[in-house]
Amino acid sequence: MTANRYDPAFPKQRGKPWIALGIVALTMVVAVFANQLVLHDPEAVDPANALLPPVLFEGGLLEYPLGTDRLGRDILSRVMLGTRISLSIAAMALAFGGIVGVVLGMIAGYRGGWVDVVIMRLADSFLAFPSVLIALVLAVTIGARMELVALVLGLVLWARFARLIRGEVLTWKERDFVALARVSGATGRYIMIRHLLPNVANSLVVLATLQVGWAIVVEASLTFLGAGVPPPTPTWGGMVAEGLDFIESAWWISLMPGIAILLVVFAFNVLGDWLRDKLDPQLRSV
Amino acid sequence: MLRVALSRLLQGLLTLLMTSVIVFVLARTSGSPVDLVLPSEATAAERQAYIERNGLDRPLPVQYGVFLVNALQGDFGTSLRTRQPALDLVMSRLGRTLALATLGLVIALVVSVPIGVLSATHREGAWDRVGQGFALLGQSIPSFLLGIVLILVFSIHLRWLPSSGIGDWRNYILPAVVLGWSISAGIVRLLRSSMLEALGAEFVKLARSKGLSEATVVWKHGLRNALIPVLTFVGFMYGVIIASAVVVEVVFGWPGLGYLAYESTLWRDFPVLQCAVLVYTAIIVSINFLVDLGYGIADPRVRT
Amino acid sequence: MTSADTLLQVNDLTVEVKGARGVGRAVDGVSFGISAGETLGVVGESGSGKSLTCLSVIRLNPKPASRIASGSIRFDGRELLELDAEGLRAYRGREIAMILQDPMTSLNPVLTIGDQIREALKLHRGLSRADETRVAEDLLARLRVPEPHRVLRSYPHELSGGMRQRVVGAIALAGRPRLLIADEPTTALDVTVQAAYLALLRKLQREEGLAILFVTHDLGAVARICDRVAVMYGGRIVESATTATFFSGAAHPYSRALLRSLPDVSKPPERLEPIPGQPPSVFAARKGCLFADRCPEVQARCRELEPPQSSVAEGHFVHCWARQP
Repeated sequence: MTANRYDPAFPKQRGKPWIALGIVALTMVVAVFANQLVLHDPEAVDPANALLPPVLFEGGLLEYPLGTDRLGRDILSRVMLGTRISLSIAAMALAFGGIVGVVLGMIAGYRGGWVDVVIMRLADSFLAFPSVLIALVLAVTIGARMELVALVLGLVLWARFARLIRGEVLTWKERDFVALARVSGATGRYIMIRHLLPNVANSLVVLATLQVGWAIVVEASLTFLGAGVPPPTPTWGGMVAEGLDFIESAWWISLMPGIAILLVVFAFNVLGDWLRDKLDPQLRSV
Repeated sequence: MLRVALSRLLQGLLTLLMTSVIVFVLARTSGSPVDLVLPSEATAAERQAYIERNGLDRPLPVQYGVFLVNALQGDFGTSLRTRQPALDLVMSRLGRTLALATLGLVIALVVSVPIGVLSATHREGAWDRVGQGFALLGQSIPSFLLGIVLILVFSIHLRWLPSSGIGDWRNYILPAVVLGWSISAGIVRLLRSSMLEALGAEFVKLARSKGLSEATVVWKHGLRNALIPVLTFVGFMYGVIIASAVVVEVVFGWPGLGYLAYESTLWRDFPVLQCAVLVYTAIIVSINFLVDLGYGIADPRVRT
Repeated sequence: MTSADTLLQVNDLTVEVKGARGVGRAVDGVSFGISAGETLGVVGESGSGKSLTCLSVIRLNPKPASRIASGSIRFDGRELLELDAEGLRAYRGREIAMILQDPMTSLNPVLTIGDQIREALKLHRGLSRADETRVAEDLLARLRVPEPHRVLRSYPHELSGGMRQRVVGAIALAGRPRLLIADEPTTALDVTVQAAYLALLRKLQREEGLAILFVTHDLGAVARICDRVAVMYGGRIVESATTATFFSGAAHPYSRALLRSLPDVSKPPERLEPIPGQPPSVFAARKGCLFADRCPEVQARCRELEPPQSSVAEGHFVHCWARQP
């Protein structure tokens, strides 16, 4: 008998993504308590200490762990403040997109018929919506503010939520307990809130987690282009853009906030993937 | 099938209409559009002439109608900076962006299709981990960041490739790679899941039971089916690529449509920006339509 | 149990499946043999492990959701479980062919019928392109497919379910196999089409001397086509007998319950009895007889010890404490 006579043993179950959870938790704490945690005033200029490298490199100071930019501002403090901006915009965009998307998705799925057609056509056209370009227009016309940037992101996000929720509602509304509620005279709104919403909650959490990363990346791209929250407010994308002129000599100005974006987005995506496998294996490609 | 394509075309026109409404509304809510489209040194007479010509003294819906009619005739006003018609400026940049985006799409497909297939065929194995890691990184690294890192490594450190501008073929490499990167994660994920679905299908079981080689089963029977959802997605992907082209063109100083939009933002050249946004959207819409037409070639079920 | 003309001999086959709740045994120590030209019917409820058993015979059990954990599968004296992928391919299609349950999904939607038949012909017979087409048309004609020439150029979605299942039959015969594994081949067909398909299978079997492993939950089909019957319950074979013996004198309480649940046109309909209770989960503890909870003749030892095989008559075996001599 040969050793590989039978099929190989089943692979082990994957563990919990502790590192991603840790990064997400840390990010949340930094976002909430950024003002209390910073070592320096993120907008305080210190020309004597301009362009200092991070502490582990030659010439770095412990006082400025991630170095300073061309005006001598502390990069760590600015990255921490940027966390707050990025997460706030992501949260607002998700809240806006999530609420609108859930409400419209539920109505589309539950009512069906022409209501469904109209809402979903609308959603589909917003999915192809050039958000980056609209943000540029926004910056030129009204001027970018946090809420407006969040709104632009939300214009795309709601469609993603609506599509997901509609699909889920379509499968749930055929179940017996919904039919029972309908027969017993419950209103459509009651059924949607009491019976359907709890059942789509898992998918909702998964999609929301996976979209945090997307929102942060797009928001950073916008601030990078100068179409997001304007300076001197420290933003991740804005800091990367400011460092571009010094990329050969002082790479840390651009790379430090870049690494922050990478870590946070990566952590949210890992967490989202894990949640999806855990809560909702059907939800494959969102 | 033609009906599907036509309904998708209407869909695209709806997107275009929506974008134009939003651009229009943004322009009007920011104050007088005259300040946006005429240079600040324009005389009162010029302003008055503009207002009358575009019906700015009339109700908003009428103004939108005038705007739409002008746009359909290719009249997007003149650039505040160069005094050229906005549409001419935009069209002169369009080719370069399309070339870059198409190259990026090709790179993305060449890299992600094998990775997506291998991570499905080696589910939960080493290739799958590579694929999933690739997809995660792809989603997590914004294009501007990757662009900067590539410039640092290949232009500044190794001095192999130019960091910006246009010249010969070497100028295409870095920006096209970054553009391709921006959609690779999506293709890998989508292909992995549609491939897993195809490989779990009964017809694959039957194909295996015939005694076909694993390569034939995977690449002929599996991939032919798994590519169909990916194909419908390519139109969408192309849209994403063109949108991220704005960022990539700025990073690499590539004088395409995206860079034009960015410059127009800096110079507050509203007519050009507005035209760029709408042409952009129109391109995304038409590509989606073309993909829908091509869909029937891949899937015999929609051909009839 | 092994006789000289045994074509396929499966011994002690165990297949594990992996689910959210851990690893379970879907096929648990199954043994059976099929002689050349013989049809063995494997009967059981859904979830009894009958489909997985027959897929595992040519190692087409779904992976990574399931794995063959132990046992032996001998075809014509060769141990199939010792073969690598290449070695196995020499058997697939050429020695052992398959017909799957759902003709709607078992043909590739993006390839023409001709592509899918020729593919098998090319592999197993090495014919010229023109011959391939001719032989493919012959095969379809033998399966009574009208207008074979046109059908070859069609896509699966352009054919009816019955026609598609005939195409699948033609593909199965393309490699001139000695054993045909048919996994519920008529379940997805209309009742009128079912009978015709079974008659066709029976005819082809006689013409080709095919052995058939026929998996079904339809006892009517068993009566029509099978020489012997093996009854599966909870991943184990609980009884095996010739078809005649089975219908006249099934010994296992589960087999009897199955027969009682069968609509019988010769008796008044009130005799129809469903089997009370639920079949066991593959993830449940495997102690004693798995049918004990639903068995009308249950004894104390049934819940403790797995019943050994006992012989009721020549060629009639049962696993049941109540039938111990």
